[in-house]
Amino acid sequence: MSSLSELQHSLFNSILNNEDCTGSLSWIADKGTLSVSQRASIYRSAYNIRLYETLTNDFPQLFKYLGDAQFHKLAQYYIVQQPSQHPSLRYFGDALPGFLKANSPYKDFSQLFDLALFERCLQTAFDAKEAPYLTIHNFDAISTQQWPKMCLEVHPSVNLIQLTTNAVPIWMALKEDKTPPDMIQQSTTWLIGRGSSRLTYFRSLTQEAEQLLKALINGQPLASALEPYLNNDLTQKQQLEKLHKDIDSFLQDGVISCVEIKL
Amino acid sequence: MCPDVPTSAQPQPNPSMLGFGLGLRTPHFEQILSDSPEVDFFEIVSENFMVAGGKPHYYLNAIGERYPLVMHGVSLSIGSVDPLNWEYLQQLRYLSNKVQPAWLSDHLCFTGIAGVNSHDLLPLPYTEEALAHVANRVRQVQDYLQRPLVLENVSTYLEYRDSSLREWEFLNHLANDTGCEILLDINNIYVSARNHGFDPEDFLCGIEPHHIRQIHLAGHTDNGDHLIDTHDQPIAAAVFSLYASALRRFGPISTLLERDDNIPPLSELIAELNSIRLIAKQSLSQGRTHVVTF
Repeated sequence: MSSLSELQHSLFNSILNNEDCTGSLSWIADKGTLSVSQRASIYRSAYNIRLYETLTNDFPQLFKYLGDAQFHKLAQYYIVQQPSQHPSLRYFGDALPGFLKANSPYKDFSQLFDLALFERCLQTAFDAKEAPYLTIHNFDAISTQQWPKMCLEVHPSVNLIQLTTNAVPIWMALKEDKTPPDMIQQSTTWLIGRGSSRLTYFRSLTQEAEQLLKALINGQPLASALEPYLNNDLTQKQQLEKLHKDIDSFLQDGVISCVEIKL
Repeated sequence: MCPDVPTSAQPQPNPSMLGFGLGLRTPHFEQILSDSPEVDFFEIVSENFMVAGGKPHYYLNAIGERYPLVMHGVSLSIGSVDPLNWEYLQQLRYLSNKVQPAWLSDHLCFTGIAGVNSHDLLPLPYTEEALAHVANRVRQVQDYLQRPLVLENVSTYLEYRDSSLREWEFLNHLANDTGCEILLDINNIYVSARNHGFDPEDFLCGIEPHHIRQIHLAGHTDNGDHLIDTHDQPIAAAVFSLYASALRRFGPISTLLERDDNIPPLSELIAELNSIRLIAKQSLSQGRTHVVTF
């Protein structure tokens, strides 16, 4: 008689091993219309189908970009190499961007990593932690004299990612069922987050806005986050207008959660 | 056939009866809030709401303000020889404290081993060793959650040669040993009965009625020589018939319609739920029978 542990390992091994292992299935009761091999294969198929469907649901545009056959090949490879270790399927695809970056032949096509990372970040923003949103009205009520001491807290759904290709235009075309553009190398920083309407948003950032946001994410007061705007070609008024415009955009998107005045 | 004795034309009242519910699924969130359909309660899949925030929590809060909720998990892995996942249990307790469900259920199965999750409801051998192991874990989980667990019988496609108990005997022992309750999935009974060649009525006859907290109904796929528990189509006539038989034996029990794939418009599910109500009404009016233990 086998122990509980032995039986659970036997079933699990028969699920994870894709080859038919009829000879090692003597622990299954052999009765009824199905063979023990058929009985084990039902669990094996269900395992692969469930994980495959999770990846197609979580990376819908990557799936379209690669097509059925290539995505299936990728998924089978990933399922074997990165078995799920989390109780929720929500997190099964977390390692896919890194997997694409690290493994041949995928690592030779950097748009695949970019596409997967972008889709994963959209999901992360979708169910990120709740926090309030600072409105333009509330922000405008703060005296400009207090700006240097002001710390703007970034909403927990906000993420900045640096992509090296035109993966986002590719993603947008695929989402609209259009032919995607050819891949080109194009270094862009993307802001991804979830707005007050609970819809996810994304947009590219200028270098100044990116540096400002990074400073805010790091908890720096506005005074020390202003450096990118101190451009000698601009008057102080123009510098402030540019800063105000970027902060307004952040507020409209829902990037800023709250404000703290450091005394 | 099991021995039973008709006792009364009127079913006994069930104080824990919530009525007839639906599984809460994303495509229906908006319509539930706008139309307030006649559903007595909703059942959430616990893991779907173990996220930090966003739309899932917004809708959970809004729907929870209008309808009673119950929680149904798929990843407790109560039968696994792996250690209990306390991080998962912590999240489950947090969600349970937030949702305040009428009850909290999962499955009599294991889902993973050696830290790997299959995301499937894998069958347990029905042995004395497994019973002692599961009972010990149920007690730990109940102590931690400070509430009884409700455990569901799963659809199975294989049985272990070493099993020495029938599934219903295992469930009865477990419930008697730990105080846990039973979520009786009528479709799963039917699927397993067909796959293993036993009479599903034997399951109903064997299960001790006072442990049953809830009933699940769902659809399956008939592959001829075996059935797969797919939850992607309407309830089969044979499962409705078994449900009627169950209610005649057990009296009124909170019943939930599950649909997890190929999800139709809400109106279709409400119509199917109304069919369940009708069958329940007819079955219960035919008189209740009681199990007699010899």
